[in-house]
Amino acid sequence: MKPIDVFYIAKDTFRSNKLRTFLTVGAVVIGIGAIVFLVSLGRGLEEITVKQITSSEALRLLNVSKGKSDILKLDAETVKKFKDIESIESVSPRASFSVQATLGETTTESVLHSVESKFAKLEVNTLASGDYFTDATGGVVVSSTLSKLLGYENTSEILGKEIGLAIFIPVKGTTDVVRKEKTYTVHGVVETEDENYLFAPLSSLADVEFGEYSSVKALAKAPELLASTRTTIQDMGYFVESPADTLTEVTVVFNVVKVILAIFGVIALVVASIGMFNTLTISLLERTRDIGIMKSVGATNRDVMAIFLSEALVVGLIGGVIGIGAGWLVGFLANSGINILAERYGGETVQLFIVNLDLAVAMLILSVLLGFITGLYPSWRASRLNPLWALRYE
Amino acid sequence: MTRNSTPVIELKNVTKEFFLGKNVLHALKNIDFSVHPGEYVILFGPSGCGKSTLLNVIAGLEPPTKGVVRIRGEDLTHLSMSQLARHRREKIGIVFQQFNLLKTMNIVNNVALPELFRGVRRSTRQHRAKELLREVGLGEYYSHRPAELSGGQQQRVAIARALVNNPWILLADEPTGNVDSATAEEIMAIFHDLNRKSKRTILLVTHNPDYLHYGDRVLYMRDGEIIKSIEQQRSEKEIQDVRLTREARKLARESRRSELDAQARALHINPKEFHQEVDLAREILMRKRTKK
Repeated sequence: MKPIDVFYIAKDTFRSNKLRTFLTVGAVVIGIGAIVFLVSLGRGLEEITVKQITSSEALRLLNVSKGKSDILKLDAETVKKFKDIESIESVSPRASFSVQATLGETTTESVLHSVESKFAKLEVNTLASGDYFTDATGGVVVSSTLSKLLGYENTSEILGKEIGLAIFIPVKGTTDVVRKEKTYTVHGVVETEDENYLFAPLSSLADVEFGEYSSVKALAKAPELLASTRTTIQDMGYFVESPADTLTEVTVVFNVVKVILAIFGVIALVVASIGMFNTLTISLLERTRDIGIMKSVGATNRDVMAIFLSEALVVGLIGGVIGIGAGWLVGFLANSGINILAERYGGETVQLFIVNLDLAVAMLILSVLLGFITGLYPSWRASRLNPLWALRYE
Repeated sequence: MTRNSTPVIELKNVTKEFFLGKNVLHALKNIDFSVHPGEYVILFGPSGCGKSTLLNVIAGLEPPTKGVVRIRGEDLTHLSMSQLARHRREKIGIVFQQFNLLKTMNIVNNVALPELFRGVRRSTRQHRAKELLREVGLGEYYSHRPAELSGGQQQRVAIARALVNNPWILLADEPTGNVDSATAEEIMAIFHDLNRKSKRTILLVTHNPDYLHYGDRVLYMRDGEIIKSIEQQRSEKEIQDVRLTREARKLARESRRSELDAQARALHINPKEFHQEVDLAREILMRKRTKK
């Protein structure tokens, strides 16, 4: 028998027994669909949380500070040293000062972080309104808390206003402080719970003498290089933190969530495979005479086994393909529904269900494997039937 | 006739016992016989005499308890399961009383089934199947399923299937048992032609004495034994007469078919059933007439 003939026989069988084929395939579709749906939900939830915590650049980011050390320095020279580390793409120093912010009649205490303009996006969180500053535009980004302290509840109204800053700069090597006054235009606002700060470009403080940076951000060239870069800097004695630390914990939590969701899916699959096994066994009984006929005209045990097993494989494959499609479709519809609601009520659009290629491929392999395993015993039994007994079977 | 040639079927001391609980059923007792190339042998006997079992032993569907079964020199009792399967698909063609066609396939694929298991290409085997279906007069039914055909037509499909691998030996187990008598004559005529024109060796099992005149040799069986073996010259005239009668009946039937269809419609009866009823009535009348 040629392998292709197995499929001609299967095609005839499926066509002449549409209901049974439909029910068997349906069982696999539900099982596989349920797993795809649940696992994609797990992935979506994880992805959303990770996005909330940080941008993808955060996976390459290291926060370097002096920690408790008094000997170490974090000055221009150190920054240059960090830049020389091969795995580091760029280094963004940050200098922080205490300030008094004045807008109109109102004056309040705050903290000024000055960073290089090109790292503004990295340093400052997502803006609620306005834009980041550049070296050309100058200006500051204020936190919403500061905006409120200055009398602007509605953060978009503070944009374009002039803020007067009295900056207190520590004098190198002493405990003295120098007061310096500057005026900035508000370019953007960051949404915060109750953190009071503002960001300004380092270039605007070029005329100010200050000894050390408060912290340095180093960006590794790739997420994989993060750990080694971290070790290199730590070996130099500095204290290093990374947003990726929090990320690892979150990933662990979501792996647990995914496993739990997958268990529900597996239960669905087990039920589906029991159903499939049952259908295949019944199908065997129904076709006992057919097996007798095939054997009496010269089918070998192997031929019969191949015919039944490939039917199970085809059922698994078709069920798998439709199941993956169904799981994806339900997720897609749910995503669309959520996003329509989100847009209507001004929320953020999200992808709650994510089906990747690797999930689809894994499910496809699983479904074929399911067909193989559930089909093995019925087809083995079919192949062993005595032809005469099978012919007499009614 | 061809007594001097080597036998194509040769049985020596073949015994078959079935164990039914504590009882032993002796289905075949020390059977010895040979069939020569081109012979038409009829196994005749009442039901339960072991004639079907004997046919199944020769077909390689039932291993004998004891004895030697040689088909064209090869001893079946030493063959493995897959070798027996090869024997069935290459050396012999079988026709059953129950037709035994696959309901799921159209008749072309049914006829081509043994070729499928031989690994013949789909187009090749379908071409051959269609050719054979034309030969048995079913040329216009290619895409029909067995259930859409009458009993006689189904049996002709089964005969075409038995011939598809071009075997020299044809085994038929009560091939006329499930069809009406007119169709039975047609089926018997096909076997007659296969033996006469295509020189195929035929071993046919029947319990109907009406067909004994077709065989070169009739083996009478009873209780698992061959009790009598009668060689006969087949009377070509008698066979011819039967054929003519059959032709005449067929013509008569066809001429009346449209008329009967109209009547059936008027009476709201299924035309096919109506035909059968009329055929039956006609047969009863004919029997009565011959008795008189």
